[in-house]
Amino acid sequence: MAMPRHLLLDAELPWADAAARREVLRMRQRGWGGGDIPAHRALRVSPVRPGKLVPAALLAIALLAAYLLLLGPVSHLWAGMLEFWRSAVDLPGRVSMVRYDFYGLLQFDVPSLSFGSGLPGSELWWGGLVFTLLLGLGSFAVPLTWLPLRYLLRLVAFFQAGAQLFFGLWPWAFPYDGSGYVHGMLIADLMLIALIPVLLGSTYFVLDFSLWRKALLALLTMLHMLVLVPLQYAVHAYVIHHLSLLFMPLMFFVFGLTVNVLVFISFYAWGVSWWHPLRVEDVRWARRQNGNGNGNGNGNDDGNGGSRGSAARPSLPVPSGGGLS
Amino acid sequence: MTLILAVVGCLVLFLGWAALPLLPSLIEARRRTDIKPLRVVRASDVDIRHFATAFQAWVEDHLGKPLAASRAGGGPVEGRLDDGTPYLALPDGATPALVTLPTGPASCGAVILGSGDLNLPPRALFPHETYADGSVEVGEQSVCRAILAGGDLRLGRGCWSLRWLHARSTLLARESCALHGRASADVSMRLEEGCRFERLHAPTVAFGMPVPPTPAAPALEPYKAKDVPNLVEDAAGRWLVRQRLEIPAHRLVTSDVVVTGELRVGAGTRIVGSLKSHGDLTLAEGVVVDGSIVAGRDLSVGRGCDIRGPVVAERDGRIEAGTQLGSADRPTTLSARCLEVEAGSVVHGTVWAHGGGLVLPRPRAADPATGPVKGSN
Amino acid sequence: MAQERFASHLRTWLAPVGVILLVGGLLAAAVALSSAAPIPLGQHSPRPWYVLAMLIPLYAILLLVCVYLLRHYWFTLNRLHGTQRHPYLDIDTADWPEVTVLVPAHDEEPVIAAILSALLEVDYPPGRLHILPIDDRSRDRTGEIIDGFAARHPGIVVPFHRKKGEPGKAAALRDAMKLVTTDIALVFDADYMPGHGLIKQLVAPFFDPEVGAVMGRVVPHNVGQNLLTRLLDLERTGGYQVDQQARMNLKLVPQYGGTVGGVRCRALESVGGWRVDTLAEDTDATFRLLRGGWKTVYQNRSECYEQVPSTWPQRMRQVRRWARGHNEALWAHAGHLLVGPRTCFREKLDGWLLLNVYVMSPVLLLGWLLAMTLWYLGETRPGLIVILLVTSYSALGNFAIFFEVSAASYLDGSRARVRLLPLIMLGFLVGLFAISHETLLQILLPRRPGARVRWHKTEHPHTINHEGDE
Repeated sequence: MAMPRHLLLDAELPWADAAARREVLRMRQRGWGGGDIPAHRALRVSPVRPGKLVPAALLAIALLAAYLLLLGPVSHLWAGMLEFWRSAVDLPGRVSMVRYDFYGLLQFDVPSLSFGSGLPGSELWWGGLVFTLLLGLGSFAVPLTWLPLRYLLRLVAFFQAGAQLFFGLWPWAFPYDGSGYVHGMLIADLMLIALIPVLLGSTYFVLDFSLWRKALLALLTMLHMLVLVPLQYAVHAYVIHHLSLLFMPLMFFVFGLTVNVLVFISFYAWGVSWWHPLRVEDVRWARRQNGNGNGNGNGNDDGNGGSRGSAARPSLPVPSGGGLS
Repeated sequence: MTLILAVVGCLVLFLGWAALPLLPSLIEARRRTDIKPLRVVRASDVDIRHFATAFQAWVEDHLGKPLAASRAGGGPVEGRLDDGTPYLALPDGATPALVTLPTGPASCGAVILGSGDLNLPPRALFPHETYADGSVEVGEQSVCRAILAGGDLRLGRGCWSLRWLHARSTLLARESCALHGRASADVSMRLEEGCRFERLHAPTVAFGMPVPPTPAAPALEPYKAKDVPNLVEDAAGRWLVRQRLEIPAHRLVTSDVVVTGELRVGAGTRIVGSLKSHGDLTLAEGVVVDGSIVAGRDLSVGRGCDIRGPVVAERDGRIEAGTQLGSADRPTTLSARCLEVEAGSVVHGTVWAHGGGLVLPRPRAADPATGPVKGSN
Repeated sequence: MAQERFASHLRTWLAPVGVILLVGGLLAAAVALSSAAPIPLGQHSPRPWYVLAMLIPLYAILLLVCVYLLRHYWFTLNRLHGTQRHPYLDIDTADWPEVTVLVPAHDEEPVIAAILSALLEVDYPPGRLHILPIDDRSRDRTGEIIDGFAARHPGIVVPFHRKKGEPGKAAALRDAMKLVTTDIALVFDADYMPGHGLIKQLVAPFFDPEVGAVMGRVVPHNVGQNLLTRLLDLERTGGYQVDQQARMNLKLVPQYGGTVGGVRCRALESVGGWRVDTLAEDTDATFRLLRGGWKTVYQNRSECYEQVPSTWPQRMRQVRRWARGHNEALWAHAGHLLVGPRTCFREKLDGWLLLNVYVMSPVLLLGWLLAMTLWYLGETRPGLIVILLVTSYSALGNFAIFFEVSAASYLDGSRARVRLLPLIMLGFLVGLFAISHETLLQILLPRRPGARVRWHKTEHPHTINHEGDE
């Protein structure tokens, strides 16, 4: 039983004029105030149109390609920032570049910050233990209204307790050094930033925001991360250098990629709250501000009646008034 | 000292920069600008008469005086609403004047109120609502936004309604009308051949002229659970059948039937229960279903069927002539994506076709009194 | 026509293709980079047995995380762009069957009058709606208020005073069901406020002879009370607007939530009636109906206000009760569901994943523990895969949920509330520990079969006023 998708759209109009027909068809969806009639939120969808998806996909690809092409300058920017912070906080060592070859397709440099990182002495270890206990026991003092903070403190205490245990029993077996750790994390973050256009492409660009908003959100997120990462690992390096490897696990698990992911989610949440065409409340708000005109009062099932006689913006050449014939 | 400042600066800058994207979140948590619950309206706004009722109330509130003046024999009353939209109150039997511009159709750009019967001229556009205390006659090929008629509402050939129509008495849509949105009548409604529609409601919705009732079926042979192939379960008054099922003609089924594939019911069979198929569902002519019908895909209802409960097709539906859905004392709902209904069918209650419905001409053989009824076993 | 066909194909295939592209792309990038780049972290020597013994379960857990990620991503894309199923929403005219509305109430003095008044005003044929408020061992004026309504509306409001018996909503419902003479029974918690058309909307799906239960959308009313209620509002939005509706669209397993919904009595009886020895009688009913070949239907348009917990301890108790009840349903139904003849493959798969939702919390914690241990052992080969996937446990895995909540909020037309999304992590953290704690207790101290359950009631201090009432 193959039928056209909307039998009503095949109906004949008395006017052959295509523009008039289009306008009349548009009037089907228009409320008394002149605005489009929205579907109830339960029935609302984000329409799938090649006109939306193709530019969105191209934007994601373009952003990724641009980032990959700019990997060289990005690495050198990071190296410069790491060197700046290294010298500012008087961290002994130097910043060099390590070259990588990605299957011969892409060659890129990643900065390497070499600095001293040693095992904790007994004072540091006991200090760490006191810190852990304070966190763990202090969490019980947090009032129940701040329950998530309790768990947050316990989570941090848990990671630090793991480090205390390891460095208390097998400090010689710790497999990492500070420089290698920072270098590895820089690689991971280079990848994470490359993933931003992909992730936004599949979760944000598919929505109905304008293309410039999509590009803006992606650029803001990527630029923020580009500035954040060297700063983040300069702090990591400083902590590991001065407080020993005992605090590297905490840095890795709590202040590592977790922070970058939180940044991404924060930008994403902000971006989703921007204006988009499906947002009915904004349309209503605009109508209230203007006194009339832009909104609608007779949403499909929106409970406000479709029964007033006003079309503020009729596009057809409709005369005003009338009279007896 | 400089070193300490540098270290503190580095740390603060890191924490501040990392927390910067959280600012919108923290500001919203603090300012609480969006804390109202989603608006759930208790009023039953899905009622098909909702717009008409609201419009009636609005007319009484805002245009009661000009309407009363017109009723009292004061002739046409013109004016403007607060937002600048013109209105026009006309006496009984009047016709609004049209304005013709160099481009586009002739039209009347006012809210039209009739204190008695009202005539709307043919081939014209009425982009605002129309109200009449009495009946409304719309000339052929006119396009109206919405009409509330206190009496009968008659649409000429090829008319369009864009939002809703409601008649306090009867509604007649002559050939090839297109009723977008809602159309309802308190007494009855008839749509002639070629009419297209979206959502209809009346105690009796007739498509074309009704066909005489189907002759009584011969004695029916009981169809038992043991006769059902691929029966998974016979419990709680329901047969659950895997894959396809074909119920032969002239049988009596006294159970609900749920089929995970296609379901075909033979001519003259009576189902004392409801039917559900995950696939297509086909009723041959003269089938009687006491309960409801739900088709997971397409639905085809043969000539002269009688279905008492709601009928839902998740895809498209076709109803052949002489079929009756519901009854005057047990109204029901027919719903499908796209719907083709042959003239001669009657639905008591509501008809929904989200993708549009079309009234097809009645084939000659559809009259059971004159045409042969083919069996379909 | 060609464009319409193309758009239709897009609607159908966007979600699966999107999921495949996203996950395939991420994995391919991770594998390629980790094998191409010399990873400075970790040791490259052959792995000792104990490392392998931890790596294998870790990868299994990561696989599970990916499966749930895919599921949420698929649901969200489907809800955003797919064809939406609301097959019974159009049924607004019918010969409506008799229906009984059960209102379990345990010390609900502040709110019971409001729901009874609302039910008396609903649009349903006279004589076909029966209201059965259950005064379940109340110590306040609940029973007295109910009796007042019964006296004013004889034959419509029929009170059931339950003075003794097992505690718990399921037990109260089971006892009350003995008084139900209609085939359809709807259940509303006492703090809910049904709209005029809601009863018809919830009864309509029962015209389908395959439907065993119906669920409507729950909308938090006390959103603005504090940060917790705002976060719960976001969670509920994602759960109903996207998760439940997508399952409805995809013909999977929408869940009956025990309120703003109802059951077909003969269907429930045929699968054993209400079970009283469970803390999640709604989940249990969903799965027993499913195994019996009865469908649960979700009606996204059938909205009703509720009050969400407003303190973290209340929320903890609620989550722990859900976790325990849900896990009981897991033990009871997971095996049978996989082999039952009345469910199709997609229902088995979705039902099984749904049953395991709460078990995933302790599994995630175990994964963290394994990942941390392996990290200490220097086991980062194959390098960045482990770093990326493990550290992004709460990132990508949860990000699918963030996407779901954002999409739901977006469809709801909400404005600034979605900015609180990053703070939802707080709720996840509490949930993760509460669920893990409860599941662990359940494993270590299993409840005896048939043992009594306690009614962990959420306080409802306010009545609900509809904005649309003015």
